[in-house]
Amino acid sequence: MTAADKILKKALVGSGIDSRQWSAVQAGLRDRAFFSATVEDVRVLGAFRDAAARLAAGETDPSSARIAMRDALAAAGYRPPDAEDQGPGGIRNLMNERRLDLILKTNVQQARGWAQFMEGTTPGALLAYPAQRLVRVRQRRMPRDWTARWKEAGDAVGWQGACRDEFVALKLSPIWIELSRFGTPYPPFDFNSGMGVEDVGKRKARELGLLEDGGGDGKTSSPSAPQGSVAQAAPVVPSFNANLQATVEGIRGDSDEGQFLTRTFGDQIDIRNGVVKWKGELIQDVLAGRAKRAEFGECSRAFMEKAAAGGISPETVQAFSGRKISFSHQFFVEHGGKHLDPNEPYDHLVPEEFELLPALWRSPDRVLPIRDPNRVQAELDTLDGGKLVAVIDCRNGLKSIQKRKAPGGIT
Amino acid sequence: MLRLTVKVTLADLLPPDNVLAEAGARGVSNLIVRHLRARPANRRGFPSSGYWADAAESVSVKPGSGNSAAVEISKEGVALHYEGGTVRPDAGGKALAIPLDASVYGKKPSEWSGFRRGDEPSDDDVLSVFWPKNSAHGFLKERDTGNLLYLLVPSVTIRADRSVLPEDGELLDAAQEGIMEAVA
Repeated sequence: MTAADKILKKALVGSGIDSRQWSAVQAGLRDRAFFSATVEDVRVLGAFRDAAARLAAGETDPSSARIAMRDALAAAGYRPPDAEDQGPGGIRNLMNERRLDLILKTNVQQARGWAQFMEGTTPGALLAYPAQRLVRVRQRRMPRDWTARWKEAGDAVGWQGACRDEFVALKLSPIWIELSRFGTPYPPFDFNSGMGVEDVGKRKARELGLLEDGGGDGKTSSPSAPQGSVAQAAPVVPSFNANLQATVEGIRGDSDEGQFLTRTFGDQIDIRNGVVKWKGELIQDVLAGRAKRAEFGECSRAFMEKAAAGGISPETVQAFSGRKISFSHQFFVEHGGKHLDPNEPYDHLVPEEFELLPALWRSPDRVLPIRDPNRVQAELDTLDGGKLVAVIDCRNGLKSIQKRKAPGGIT
Repeated sequence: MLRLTVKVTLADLLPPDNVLAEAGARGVSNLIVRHLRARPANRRGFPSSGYWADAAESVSVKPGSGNSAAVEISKEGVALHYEGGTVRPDAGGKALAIPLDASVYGKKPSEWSGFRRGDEPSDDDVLSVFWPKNSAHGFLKERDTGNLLYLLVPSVTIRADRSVLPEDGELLDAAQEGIMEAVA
């Protein structure tokens, strides 16, 4: 999987929480979410994710990516905050160049860091280069104290597979995860840190006492190494992946953690049988055939208010109360548009657009009556001028979902 | 061309072996990363945008069949620098804009308010066009100060720069170094 694929696989998660609150969300969930602090509109996040993926693939430049992101914000009707401390130059202003760069750089660097880490830990790469060195790759005016952070991280993991005297450790040492603000064993290790890694070969790793003579898989360290300088290194790659999964397993919906996630992310999160997933992941699983069905939460107050405002009868509106809907890919491949007006220019949805389904169910732009009094037509405007149109039955749930082309026929 | 690819094939050196191919390709990848990180920042002395550091981060190894692998650089413009070529405006564009001032380095004119393709000129625009009569070049200047921010040209020809990548001999040495580390 490329860095761009890694970005596109992230589920869109809109939320009003800030970066400090996001850091309280477990690494395993954060790693699989595309988000930006205080951005709630998943349509905007979808455009941001697309821009970041294109940048990671080398298909666009940072300036063009920022322009695409600002276009998405403008299309979504975004208005920058006007308080003095949040003005045009402020990082809270989503139109601000620094804020957009931060979103792009953090996502692209994390995805590339992940890709390089995975490539650097294949059997051949690990055999030749079992260790890596923390190095500065970009100059910063106010660099962080990495010596102190290295010591703190090393102390926290008992210096397993890590040098005290140099910023070198086995790639599989737990020091890397401990060093990272994001809980990942690859760079970036903090926002705008300017730090990266470079491979260290087997011979140098032995010289530093990180490997036994003859050892080369990066999982062992020398018992004859200077006292206290290294310790047995635990294999981190399997445990890193297992850890990401473990952090999102074993969580009950009624636990403090489960309640925090549900309170914060509402129906964007799915906690079932102790496994936590983003709804966007479930949709991707359904589209890929890994799951049969994704279920969305109870009908929202916003949906019912829009239905009432759209002229739906009070009885039908009331019938939606407590109603849940679900989505199965096969059904929509076969029946996608059959409930919609054949004279209108509708298209099948592209995979990314299916991820807007929860938003359409949670906060549609319009809910309109159709001929069948038990059914409504819910609409969500897309940022390209088109709209997603779903027919929903108050007794049987979702009947169809299509994309209506933008005026002029371009979607 | 979006990606620059260096193919590492060990066919003449060793029997097919994925592990050694990975080690050799990693050696090449490491050399290219170091090489790109060490490239000087822009010649005009503008604050660095980190272009080459970004390029170094985009280096990836793609496994090939048998004992081969490819090292790719997925960064816009790197292949153009290496191969050379002439850049012209996109369809509908009239000119390319070359930054003349550090404040606009790495920033397209259309990032400025009111200066998007198809926009009608307005008094609120931050930039205005200045194109001397019979000149092949024009300028974009800041409306308030009159500072010339961009040079406008119909096309730009970039000469091939083979120094974007290490020399072939260095790449071969790096592949061998990776293999030697693996068997050490």
